Amino acid sequence: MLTYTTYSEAGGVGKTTISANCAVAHARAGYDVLVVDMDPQDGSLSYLLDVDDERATGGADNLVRHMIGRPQGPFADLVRETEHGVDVVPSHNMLERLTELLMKTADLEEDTHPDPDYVYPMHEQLLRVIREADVPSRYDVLVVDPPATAGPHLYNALFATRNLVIPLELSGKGEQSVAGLQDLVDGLEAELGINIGVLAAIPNGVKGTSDQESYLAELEELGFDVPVVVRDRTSLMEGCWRRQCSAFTYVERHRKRKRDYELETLSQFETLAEHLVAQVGLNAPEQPRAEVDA
Amino acid sequence: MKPGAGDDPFADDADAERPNAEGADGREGAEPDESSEPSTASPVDKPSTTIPSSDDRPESETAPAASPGTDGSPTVAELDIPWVLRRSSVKSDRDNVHQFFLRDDTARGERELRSEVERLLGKEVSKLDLREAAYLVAMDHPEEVAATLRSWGYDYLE
Repeated sequence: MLTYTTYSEAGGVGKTTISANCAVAHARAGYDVLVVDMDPQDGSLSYLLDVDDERATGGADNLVRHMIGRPQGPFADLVRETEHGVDVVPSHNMLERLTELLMKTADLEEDTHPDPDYVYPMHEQLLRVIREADVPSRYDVLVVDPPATAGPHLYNALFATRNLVIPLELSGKGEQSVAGLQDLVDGLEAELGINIGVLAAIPNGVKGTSDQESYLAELEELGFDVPVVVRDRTSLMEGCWRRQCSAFTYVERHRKRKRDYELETLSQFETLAEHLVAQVGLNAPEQPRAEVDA
Repeated sequence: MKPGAGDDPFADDADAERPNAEGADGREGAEPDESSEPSTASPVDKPSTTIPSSDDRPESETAPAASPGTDGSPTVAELDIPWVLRRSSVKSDRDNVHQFFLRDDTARGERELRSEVERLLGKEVSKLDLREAAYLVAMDHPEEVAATLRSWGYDYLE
């Protein structure tokens, strides 16, 4: 199974559009894809793929209820099918209170546990939910999209996926965000006793100035794979947000005239998706499921 | 964090019913008790530079930079009304989430501190407010913070 978290310390670098378009590219290649949207912001992936209608419904079952051990129904009922067959667990406003609710649960679990030294594994709850829902046997690819802040959302996402895909802008700020992320991840690995890999760094919105060329070189020096550099596609991305769809669907349905450079961007998402799949040695979807090397 | 793939989070699922098989490096973190061990030296605990130092934080918490008026500066109303009255929820302006990993004794201490502070104020205090206030007070007392770290044996670290 291919599992990854898309994360960047800087906001506004296209984290959500890259998650959504990679997910669609995986699905178009024939893989069964689940995306877990943990971003409580209104403009999150569930909005982009048009499944955020219940985000403010207080009584609605949602991921947080499952994470704190108080689900109102089966996990499968949270899942919504979106375009190209990509399954999404939508965001919900309760995610804003995830930290507080996990801490309350920790207090309760620890106070009532027979072992006085018991520590509630606060950052392992998403993995627990995913395991219990049998996600690994139902899906080939799991993408988690957390908010762009360090905290339990990100820690749970990384504990469940162990892989990062880092979108970034090629600038001093982007480089700093990679360095900051490195510190954060090193700390997490020690804290949680896990190894986290970086499957790819994705420069996004690149306009091709000479400064950016040198940042790109520095990025590659850090040793991270940079399978594609996504050029500035403001009009395409704005169109996607307006129409609430992936770039694939936008170009297919909403562009009367196909533009070569936009088709190139689509094929880059496909290249990126293939690169991610290859990194974990996931077999092609035609293979019998039993032979899929998870 | 390294280039390439990390652990397989579901490595245990294929060959074991109980999630206790170890990964290739012997530290696969599926066992909750072990992997959530509190660590006093975790970089995750370190205060980041985004926390205001005692020099630049607002004196009376009346005008945090995160709530600008339409022209980017705090409005008159924001300057006059204390933060806890002005905010819509306890999380207002608290965009920086810093996870605390506490040892049991510290967590107990926090409960005691909270009741004591609540007694002094004569009203309930939210945990987030208590923690941030305590952290700000600590920032004015770096020597005492250092003394506590010494008592944990910091002097003996390389």
